[in-house]
Amino acid sequence: MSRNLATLMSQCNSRSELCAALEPNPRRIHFNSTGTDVTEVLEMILSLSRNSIEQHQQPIAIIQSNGGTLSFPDVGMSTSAAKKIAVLFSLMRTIQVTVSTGQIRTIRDVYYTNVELYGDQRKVETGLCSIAKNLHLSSRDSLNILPAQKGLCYSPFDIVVQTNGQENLIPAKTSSMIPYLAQNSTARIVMRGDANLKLIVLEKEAVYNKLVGANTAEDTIFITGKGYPDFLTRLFLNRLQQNICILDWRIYTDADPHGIDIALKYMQNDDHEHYMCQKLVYKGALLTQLLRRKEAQFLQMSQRDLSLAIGLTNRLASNSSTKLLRVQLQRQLFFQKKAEMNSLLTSQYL
Amino acid sequence: MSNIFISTTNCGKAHEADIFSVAVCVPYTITGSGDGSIKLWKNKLLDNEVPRDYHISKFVHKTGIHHVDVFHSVEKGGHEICIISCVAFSGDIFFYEVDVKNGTLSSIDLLTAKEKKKSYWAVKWFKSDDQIVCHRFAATDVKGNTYVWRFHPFTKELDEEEAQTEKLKREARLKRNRFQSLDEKIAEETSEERESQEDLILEPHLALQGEIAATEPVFATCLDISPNGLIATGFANGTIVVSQVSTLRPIHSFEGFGIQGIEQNSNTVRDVKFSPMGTLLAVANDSGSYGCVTLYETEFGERVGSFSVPTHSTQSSIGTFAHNGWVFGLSFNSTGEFLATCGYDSKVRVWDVKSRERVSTINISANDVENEQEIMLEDESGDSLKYPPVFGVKFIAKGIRGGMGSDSNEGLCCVCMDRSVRWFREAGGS
Repeated sequence: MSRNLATLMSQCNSRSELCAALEPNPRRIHFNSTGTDVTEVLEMILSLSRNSIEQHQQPIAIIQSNGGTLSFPDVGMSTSAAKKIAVLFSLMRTIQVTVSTGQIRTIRDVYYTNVELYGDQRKVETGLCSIAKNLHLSSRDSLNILPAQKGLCYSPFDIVVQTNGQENLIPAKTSSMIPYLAQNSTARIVMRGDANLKLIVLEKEAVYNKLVGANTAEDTIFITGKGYPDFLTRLFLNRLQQNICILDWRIYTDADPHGIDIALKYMQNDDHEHYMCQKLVYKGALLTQLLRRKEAQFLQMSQRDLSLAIGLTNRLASNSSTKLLRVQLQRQLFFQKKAEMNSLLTSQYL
Repeated sequence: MSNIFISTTNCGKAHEADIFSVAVCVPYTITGSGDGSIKLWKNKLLDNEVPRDYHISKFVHKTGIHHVDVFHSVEKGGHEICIISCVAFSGDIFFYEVDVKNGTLSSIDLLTAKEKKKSYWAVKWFKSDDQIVCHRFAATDVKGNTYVWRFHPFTKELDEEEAQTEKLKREARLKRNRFQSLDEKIAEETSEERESQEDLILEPHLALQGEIAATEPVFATCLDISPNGLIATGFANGTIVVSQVSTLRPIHSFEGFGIQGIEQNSNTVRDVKFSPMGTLLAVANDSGSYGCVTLYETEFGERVGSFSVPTHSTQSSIGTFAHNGWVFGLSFNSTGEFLATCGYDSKVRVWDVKSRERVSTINISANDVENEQEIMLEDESGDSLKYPPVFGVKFIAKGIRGGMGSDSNEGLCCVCMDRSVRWFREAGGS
């Protein structure tokens, strides 16, 4: 059926109607979970799109579960839509392969398979998030593309991590990466006798290494999230809370607003309870403690620190359980100084 | 010569968190704390009365209060005005009008919506004793700007320029008609009085005069206004800018004199204070972990000296300091002869301004608190408060505090990290 512009113009009463009539009629592909296997859903969407473009020369419109539409080729002037759809397809294909073969890849790894397309790692992450959302998955972890492990753990006893029947062992007395866990995993400390354990969370890897290296105590588990903790580290801590043999839970961060923020990341999470570790007690580094050591360095608070601190005081104020953190933050602001936890003596942590 | 200060009374656990600020007016000593409240402690206590039983508490803001200042004045027509302003860690300024007669506080709104958007840090009231100069209110913000407002107690605003020209005119006229008949004079005066009586409708309000903009975004930590028309702002990077209040133009700028050259040895200015006549400016700034107090002369902006303690430490060769810890507060006495300083070393020192010698040192210990139940030896993190840092000190003029010897001696009040408020007075009588 061929129509020329003149007939179209006579049929359409308004400009917008004409524009609409000129738009191609795409194949509408709904991107949502049909309750079947993830790989099947992905394969279906991919094959539908492929057929539509290759064999029917028909444009496609992918309708997401949030109502948004991604079209290819895009009739608008934007160039980003084509890229978005390319990222989406590329990720879908990757997920389909990893899930069907049962392997696990890191976000970083996926990003490096096509740096030009993805641009930066965050795009991969947001892409995965939107796929997980469209498929109505509770966590994007089931896509088998996970963030690289960041957290480190040292324990005087073996820790057995059990996920869906699979057992994974964190060997005793070595510093190892925190293994992949799911929300239903368990982490059990294998202990002979009944000792009371201590658990220390440290912001900095340097301090973690120092303490693990110097540690002669047989009763302390050390964990570091290397700065802002990833979800895995937080989930691991949350799972460890089941072990009643750990009596003393401590967290040490830098004496600056970021340190307070990091401590809060471990201790509080209103949206996802499984990333929160209520047992942790903030122990420092306290500015007042560092001030007693004349060799400790004190740095000026930057404007960035200040705006973070002011934002944090507002957040902390609404919660009475964080009074300790609030007092510390107020002192940091009042003193106008920050200091690093590295200045504390090893004995002050233990 | 040494002056001895004796403890008159104190109150431990006065607040539930650190007390960051203290201000004194005739009826009250006012404290502001990290627990978010301000407390007004009655000054005229009898000998058997304890401060805790005579205080008014007001919860201000959940983020905590770090600065408090008070304006107290008896204006034309005998109107007593007492306004407390305090700044919360959220950056907001709150104002309360105090009814001194029945001891009630009512919140008042003195800033415009636009002015409220800034994140303020330090605030200062200036009470003018000159009929033709307005009272002032000033505040610094975290970006380093200083804002100055004129405070008008009545609906009718005082126009400073007009008042100045009016005054000059009147003086000229008086000179011309020195032999003017008495009747005429009286007629003139009564007409003026009638005019002023009519306009006296009480409506305390602020009118923004302007701002002293920062050249670079540096935290403005403190400020003070002098009776001879100067305003000083201290910054976290060690600079002090002295500007003219009438024009808001900077006239002097001082750099810190702490140990310099190493990154960690910053020289944050923690307090600035003009002498009662405004001829001297005292500056408290860090020198690494020590605290220095330097005096500047305000007319030409010269550094005239510093206060220091003799020391046997190895640091003495590099610099001298007033406190073995950061200096948080400065206060001149009413005559300007003495300066009180307080610091992280849990000491309050009183210095003779003229000879720049130390005349008194008060060592604060948490055990000093009279009521044993109120002694706080460690904070909630288990950190020792046995020798609590002193966060604020204020001289109290003669006759403000009650009790024996208060009418003939000056007093001191300080707030410490063990959440205590302590009052002292000079020993002896004159």
